Formats: sequence, C-alpha cells, structure tokens
Amino acid sequence: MRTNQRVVAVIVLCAVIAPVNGMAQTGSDADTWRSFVQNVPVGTELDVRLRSGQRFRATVVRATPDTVMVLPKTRVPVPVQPVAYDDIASLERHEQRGMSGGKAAAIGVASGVGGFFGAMLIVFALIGD
Amino acid sequence: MSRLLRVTVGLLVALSLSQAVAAQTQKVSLAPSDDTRWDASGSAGWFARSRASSEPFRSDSWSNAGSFAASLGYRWRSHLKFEAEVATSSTASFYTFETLTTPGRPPTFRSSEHGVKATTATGRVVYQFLDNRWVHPFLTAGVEVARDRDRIETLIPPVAPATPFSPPLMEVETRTTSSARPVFGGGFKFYVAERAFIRTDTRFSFDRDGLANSSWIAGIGFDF
Repeated sequence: MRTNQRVVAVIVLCAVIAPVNGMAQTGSDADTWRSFVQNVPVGTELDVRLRSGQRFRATVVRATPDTVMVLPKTRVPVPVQPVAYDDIASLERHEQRGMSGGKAAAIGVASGVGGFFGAMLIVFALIGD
Repeated sequence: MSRLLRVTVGLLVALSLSQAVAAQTQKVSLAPSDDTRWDASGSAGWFARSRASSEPFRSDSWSNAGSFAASLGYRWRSHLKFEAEVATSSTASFYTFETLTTPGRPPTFRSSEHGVKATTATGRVVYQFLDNRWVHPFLTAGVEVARDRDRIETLIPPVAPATPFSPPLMEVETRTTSSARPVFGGGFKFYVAERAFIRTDTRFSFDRDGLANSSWIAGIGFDF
C-alpha cells in the first residue's frame, strides 16, 4: 500500500513539476532577449514565439528595460503592445524567403477571383443547357 | 488511505495552480479593438445531386446545376462562427426510362424528362483558422434542410393497337420532397481589403445512401 502511495505521489509530483520546469525562464534568457532587441534597429520585422505558444510576426517599435513594444502585422491594424522579455520563448529576425507576403496574397486573391469567375462560367453554361 | 487521498488532492490542487499560472502567461492580442462579429456573403457555383438508389434507370448518375446562395454569419468566439444560408439551384435536367409490360404484348418504354430545382436552408458551425490574417482556411459542419421540386414530363406510349397517327400522350406532374441531412465542408476566405473577402468552398451532404449533394461555390462578402 505504501508503495502504491509513493507511486501515485511521484506521478502527480512529476505532473506538477514538469510543466513548471518547461515554462521556467531564467533571468539570463530574459537578458539575452533584452540584449537582442536592443541590438536590432527599430522597424525590424521579427518572428515572435511566446512561452504561451502564441506565434506572430511583428515590427519592433521601441525597447524598454522590461518589455519590447511591438506592432503585430495583421490585416486589420491592432495597437502597439508590450511583450515582457520573460514571456519570450524565441525571437528571430524575419527573412523574406522566396515569395513575399504581398505576392502570395496576390496569387491567393487571383486564384479566388479566377475561381469565382470560373464558377460563374460553369453556372452560365449550365443555365444555357 | 486518507493520507493518500490528502496527498493526491494536495498535489492536484498544486497542479491546477501551476496550470493557472501557465494560463496567465502573456498573449498578444491580434484582434482589433473594433472587431466585427458579423459577415454576409453572396455566392454562386456548381451544384451536383446524386442519383437516388430507388429511382428507375436514368441518363446520368449525377445531375448538375448552378447554385446561388446568400449567407449571414455571426462569430461568437475568436475562431467559431454560426452561419445561416439560403440557397437555390437552377433546374437540373435528366431522363428516366421505365419498361412497361402488358401480358400478351411486347414491352414498351416510357421516358420521363425531369427538371429538379433544389432549395436549401442550412445552419452550420464554422471553425476559422488563424487570427486577423489575409487568408483564413475554414471547416464547416451543420444541417441542411432541402426541398427538391421535380417537374416530370412523361411521354405515355399509345395504347395498342396504335395506328400510325396515334401521337404519344404527355403527362406533366410536379413532385416535391423535403429532407434534412448533415452537411460538411471547408474552404478559404481571401481578404481583398480589411473587411471584404472572396470565399471559395466545397460542401458535401449525406443521406442514408451516402453522398447526396456536393457543391463548389465562390462568392464575395464583407465583415460588419
């Protein structure tokens, strides 16, 4: 019985400790991100990943001792927001690889418009039968 | 046993607290302050209806028609939306053939021309991926209530003995059937402006015989 108690206790303890360790961010990590942000020019686009798992692309607006102010790149503009260095899991300078976002969007829109008019042609052909 | 229970409860409380702390880690809001909850769209496309297994032999397994739809959506969670849609199709034509047997006489054939027009009302839940982007994939699941109006023109062969001058008789009948069935689909919204989009999606509805209808539509809409 005591063995069972110990097994249960160890399992639950692991469950408690594991995510906390996984989330733990040392002060040196925060210092690293602070140093990184202070060395990139304002206006740089970054790929941001937070400890919460959220990922987004943003433009650096200003760096403060505790936070970096970023402007997320979205369709409908959102306000500039602070991100604490403690909450950052990773930061990467966004590199334009291959096709730009604008081109990709243009292709997407063209495909959509083409699809729409293609559908209309099909409809008119069927109505004409 | 009570000690084990206390330890377990205590550790579970600690686990809950640690997860609550994790949930409090920062998230950056990608939703605009004046976020819209409604959208409306109009679409047109291709509608295909499968052959019912109970029907007599017919010219096609699928009948094709144009489809026109208007939909209104309400987003009640960041990624979840309820959408209501009303759609109608153009008339899909096909023929059916039946063999008529009369004792003591050779079999004759009766052909009917069908013109089916489908009208549907659909309620569905939409899961939209990504936040505040220019392209949003989405998946849908819901229920479609369909009303099919079938106008049947049947050529009745002349009753024997026919003379060379006996024209076949034509009988016209309209049958209306209603049914409710599950519908699933998915597609993309391509935003062309902050709140205006082009959508393309495919839908499949099912009945007890399997796939009942499929449609591919494209349209334009806006958020408000």
